[in-house]
Amino acid sequence: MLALAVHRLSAWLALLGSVGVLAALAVRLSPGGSPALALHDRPVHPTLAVDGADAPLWLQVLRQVAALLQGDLGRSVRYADTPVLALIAEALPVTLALVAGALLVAAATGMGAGVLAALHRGRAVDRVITLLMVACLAAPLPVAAALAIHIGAVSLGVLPPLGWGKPAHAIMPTLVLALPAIGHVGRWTRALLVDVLERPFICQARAKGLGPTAVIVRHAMPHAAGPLLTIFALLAGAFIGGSAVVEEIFAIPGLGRLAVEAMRARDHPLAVAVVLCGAVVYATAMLTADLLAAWIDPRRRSGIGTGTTP
Amino acid sequence: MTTRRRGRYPTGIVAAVAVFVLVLPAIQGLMPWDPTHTNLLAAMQPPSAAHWLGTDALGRDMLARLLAACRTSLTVSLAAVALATAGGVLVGIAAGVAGGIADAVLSWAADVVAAVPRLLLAMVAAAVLGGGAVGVTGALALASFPTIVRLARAAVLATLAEGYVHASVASGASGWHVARVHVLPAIRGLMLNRAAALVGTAILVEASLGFLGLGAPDPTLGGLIRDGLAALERAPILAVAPMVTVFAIALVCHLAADRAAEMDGRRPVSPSGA
Repeated sequence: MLALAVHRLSAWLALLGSVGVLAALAVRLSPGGSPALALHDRPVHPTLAVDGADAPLWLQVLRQVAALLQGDLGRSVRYADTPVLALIAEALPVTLALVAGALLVAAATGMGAGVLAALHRGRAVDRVITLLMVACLAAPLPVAAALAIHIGAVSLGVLPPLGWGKPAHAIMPTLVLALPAIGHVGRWTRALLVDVLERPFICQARAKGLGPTAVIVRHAMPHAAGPLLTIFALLAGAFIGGSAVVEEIFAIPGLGRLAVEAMRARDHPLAVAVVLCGAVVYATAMLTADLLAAWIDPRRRSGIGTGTTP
Repeated sequence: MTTRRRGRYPTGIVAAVAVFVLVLPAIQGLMPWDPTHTNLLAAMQPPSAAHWLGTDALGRDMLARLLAACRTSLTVSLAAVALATAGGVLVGIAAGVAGGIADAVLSWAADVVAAVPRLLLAMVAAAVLGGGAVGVTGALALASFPTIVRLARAAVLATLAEGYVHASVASGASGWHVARVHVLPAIRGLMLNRAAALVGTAILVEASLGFLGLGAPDPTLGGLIRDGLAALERAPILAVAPMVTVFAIALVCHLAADRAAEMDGRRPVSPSGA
């Protein structure tokens, strides 16, 4: 278990290092890739003048990576020279709260629906749930958000349509973000359970007199836990991307909104930081899922070479 | 999982017809209306015989704009997934068949690309590639790429473990021969149905990009949704029409992929393909 943890941690660091270098490179290769150019006619700030925008590409990337390693993310262009780290520190908790909420909703609803469908496999309940799950998958985020605002804020009038600050503000964005994820979790839960429920050990569990709940909770679900944890980690990454749309619509001051602002204003230090941040959340979620899966399923503990995918 | 053949045709046929209906009028030249023709005297009109879906704030015919947007969005998404599938399958086969260092490097590259959330990656890639339809196509292709590589690699490894492949290798077949004759036909079905599902995902990402104003040039489905939402009170049809269209395309792609997988009688694919 310790060897596995060390192996996964070093892979985590190496992955983030690669993403950092590539993000710094990509942003400099984009049109207007130099900070001095992005300023247009505004006076060049002394910090940018010493930033070495005239240096060769590889040196600029190297310098930025060195700065990143020291925890210096640079200064934002769009937000009047605010340190990027301060912007991220303000926005990340907001988005993480959304992501955590959406994960909880998706896990509870999706797993519930998936179990129900697997238990009624081939019957009407299964077909209705399967169709609903596909519909969830296919729902575009702006559409889900518009529907949510229409129902929650306009028709019922019980929830605030936009903004951030009170717990009530988080309800609709969380549900909207979770909607496609419910489809993913539901489909995977069903598929994994249908596979497991045909195994002899389930038959044996039933034969010894266990009720359906005990069979599912004690025997079938632990078997499906590993792949499901990977799904949750993938979803955590997807939520960071989805937060761009959801936060834009609901006017939430989170990471996704920063990402959109950074792209629109060609704010490169901020763009690199946001991409890196998304990768950190994804890689950390993957790492956690890996270690949790190894903790639940002893067969995975020795599997250093098996990679992150089950 | 045993193959279930009951009731497979209706959904498959409906899906095929739906794609056809959506794609056919979207082909350039077959569309008789001009999506850019403005007429301020006929702005924000409700649906009528002349304008089936009404007109927008500049008096442009909404149906024409919707079809033009379908053309852009479908072209971009289909091209991106075709690109990603062709490249991803090649890389996946190369990684799986070659093994060793080549496998490690290629898998590593796929992991790095996959580490950046899909929409975020598409946003950055679209910015780096300079926006426009080509930039967005490249961005969507890059965002779909790691999924295909991982799936292809996993499928290749599963195929290489088969007895007939061992027999082929033992009788002196080259890596190239194994890849071409044994591996490619074995993974073709899976890759095609995953590609169909990825088109559904790509359409959604494209719509999100368009919605955020970072997508292909106007009109796109995402852009129509954004413009429509701004005028939701006065003319709900302007938002509802593109919304239903995006939803329908994505739904059809996923249903078609599911049906194809079911006809194949396959076990669930790896979650990394989710």
